[in-house]
Amino acid sequence: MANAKQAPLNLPEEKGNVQTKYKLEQEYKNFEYDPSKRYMFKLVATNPERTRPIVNHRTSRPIPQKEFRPFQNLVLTSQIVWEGKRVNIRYYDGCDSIFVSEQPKEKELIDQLIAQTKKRNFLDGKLVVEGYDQMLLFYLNICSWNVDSPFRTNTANGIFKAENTEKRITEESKKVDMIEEALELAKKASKNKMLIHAAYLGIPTKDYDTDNELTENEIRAKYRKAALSDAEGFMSSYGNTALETKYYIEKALNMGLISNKNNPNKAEWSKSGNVICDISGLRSPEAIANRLFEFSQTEEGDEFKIQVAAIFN
Amino acid sequence: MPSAIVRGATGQPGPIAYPSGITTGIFNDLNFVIPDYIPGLIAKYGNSSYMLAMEILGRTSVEKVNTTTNTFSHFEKGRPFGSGLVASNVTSSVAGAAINITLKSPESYNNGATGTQSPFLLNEIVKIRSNGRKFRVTNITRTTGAFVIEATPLGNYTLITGNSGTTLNAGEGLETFGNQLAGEASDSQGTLQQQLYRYDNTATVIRASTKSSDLAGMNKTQIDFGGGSFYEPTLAVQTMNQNMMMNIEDAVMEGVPDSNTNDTGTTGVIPDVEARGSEIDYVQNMFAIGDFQNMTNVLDANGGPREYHFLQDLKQRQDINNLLFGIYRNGAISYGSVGMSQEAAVSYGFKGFSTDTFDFHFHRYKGFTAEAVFGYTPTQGDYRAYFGLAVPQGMVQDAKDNTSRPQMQWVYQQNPDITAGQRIYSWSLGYTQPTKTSKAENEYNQIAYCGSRVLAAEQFALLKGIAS
Repeated sequence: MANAKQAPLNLPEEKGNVQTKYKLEQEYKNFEYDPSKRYMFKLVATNPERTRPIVNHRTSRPIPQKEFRPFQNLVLTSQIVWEGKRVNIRYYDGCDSIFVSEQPKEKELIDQLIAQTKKRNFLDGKLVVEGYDQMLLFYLNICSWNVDSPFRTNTANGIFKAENTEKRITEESKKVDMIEEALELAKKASKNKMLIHAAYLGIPTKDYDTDNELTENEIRAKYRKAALSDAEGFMSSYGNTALETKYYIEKALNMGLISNKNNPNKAEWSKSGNVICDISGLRSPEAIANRLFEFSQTEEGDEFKIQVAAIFN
Repeated sequence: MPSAIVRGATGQPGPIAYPSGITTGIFNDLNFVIPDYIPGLIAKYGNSSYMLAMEILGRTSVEKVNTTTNTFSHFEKGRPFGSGLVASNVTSSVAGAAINITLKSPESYNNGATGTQSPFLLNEIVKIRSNGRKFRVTNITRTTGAFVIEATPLGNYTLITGNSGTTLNAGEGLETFGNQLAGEASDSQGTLQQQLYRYDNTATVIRASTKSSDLAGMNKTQIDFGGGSFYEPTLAVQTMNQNMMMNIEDAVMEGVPDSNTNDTGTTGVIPDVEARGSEIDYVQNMFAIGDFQNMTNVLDANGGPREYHFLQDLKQRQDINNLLFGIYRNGAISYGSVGMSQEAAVSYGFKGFSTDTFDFHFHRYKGFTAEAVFGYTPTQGDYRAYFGLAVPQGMVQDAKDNTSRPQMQWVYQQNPDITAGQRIYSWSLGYTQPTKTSKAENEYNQIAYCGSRVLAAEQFALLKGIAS
């Protein structure tokens, strides 16, 4: 063993660690499905939306489009990456293992196993398996056709996935949590913070029909609606200081606090005439604002960033 | 459609595009398919174009449509026999006693999740699939998506799944048969009527042009580009013809999505089959007779006709050949009739095999294979590798006007300004053409308004080799 430890490949120790190294494999292998439950698997590919719907001629209304094709069979042979190697697996009804290396080798017996194995199909995209079909469930969860299988090969066709209701409900619940949080922030954000964020979200601050400026309450109502309709986008941009800087720069440009009136190639503070940065070649206010924003994000533009924020705070 | 001869080492990446034209025999062969000329067409364009085969077999149509949206339609009827599924387990422990069964959504309803139309009627006799026991519908509560059927057994038995226990299982099949026990002085029954569906599709517009200058038109080469013409514009026109054929074939087979544009495309045969037909998967290079039976079972369940064209890429064709030649060594594989003579079948590249009451005519379809058409080998995935499309060869009557149509059809829209019956319209203008232009060049144009029509898409099938 002492010599082995000095060898480039420490095989004995590797072998000793098989249990820990292939922990995931062991977890999948030892997992017990609830025999009283049914497990569902769904096709990954959904029908593309038909541009011209199928019409019920009697009502002249489009019929609901089916999410999945009506029929697709389940392939019971696959190759996977198991314990670091590509191995063949094959499911037969009544066989103790799905690993080809552990299955009977006699042709007659294999033919019998093939013959007695029931054909299984995804009907309208769904395959429901009884919990007591432990070996089939093991196959379905590790085979390469399952897009969520951690053992699938990189080149495999992705055919189906397990419908994990608990996972789906957790995800839905997380989404609801996010909406609640976004609504809370939208309700409590300070006026200044709200205006900055609302500008980023594209919420108007003016009524275009009457040309009246919207009140804080009116803007906040729209702001809260935006939080409700896209909570994820709202949360990811809320409190982003770069957004604040951009908003201040645009505001300063609009108010004429920053201009290029003395030299079209330089942006400068209108009052003092101090040059902020070079804007050669840029003409549109948007491009100039973008250049100033880029400048504010550099080390050199740190001071400018503080100055422009100080004006409005 | 694909290039018949690969030119150069691999032929890749294909023809040169000249945005301003390259500095005749305009393609209209398809418009006038005369039987005597068919061998000439095959010789000219090869037998790999399914579009050409369809044209020769008379499986295309030119239609007048009466809208400004290029829309053409056909009508299909739904199944005449109704069924439903049990939504959740129901206990039935007293023989002869009625039970209440809730029908599962959306499978038991004609309008899916909306769930307001089911095939169940009062007094109807219904059979349980697992054991054949019959009951009468004695009441229906029409709650949306959850119709409740009061089921009264016809005999002194319980309504259960199988032959033991006390439960009618969720998912059990219930098949309706009308009133088989109307009795004396019976009154009228409720009405059953098949669904009637309208399938709309649109024609997409396919254009091609080629231009050649006076000097290019004068350059005689050492190559005969066909018809004894050694001049370069002939090659350009020929390329346009081949591209037009492939363009139309791909548009009809694969569809042209248009929802992100302001133009009108066409749904395409394969997208329709993907949505409404069946897919049978097998492991690449391991096609087995069981896979074939999987397919014939599905075709049978969907009422497929006896004869099928089977368009396949070469890899799948090899898989099938390996299986069939392995099993039927003594030549059970023969050239099929394809609805015409055996000689014709050979000419069009079909090979036949009959099993499970179906006749399959295999056709190696180059359009699925990048290597054959474009001359390169895909390395980042290939959605049509080991791919096959089973096309039923039946004629289906339109549910509305009884027009008989093939199940897969190329539809060309009739332009009233173009000679009736023309599928592809060609015209030319230029300094030596009937319509003169001031510039010393000739321009040749083609246009086709075409789309796909798939009737009874449920009877089509996709066979796909998958790999892990």
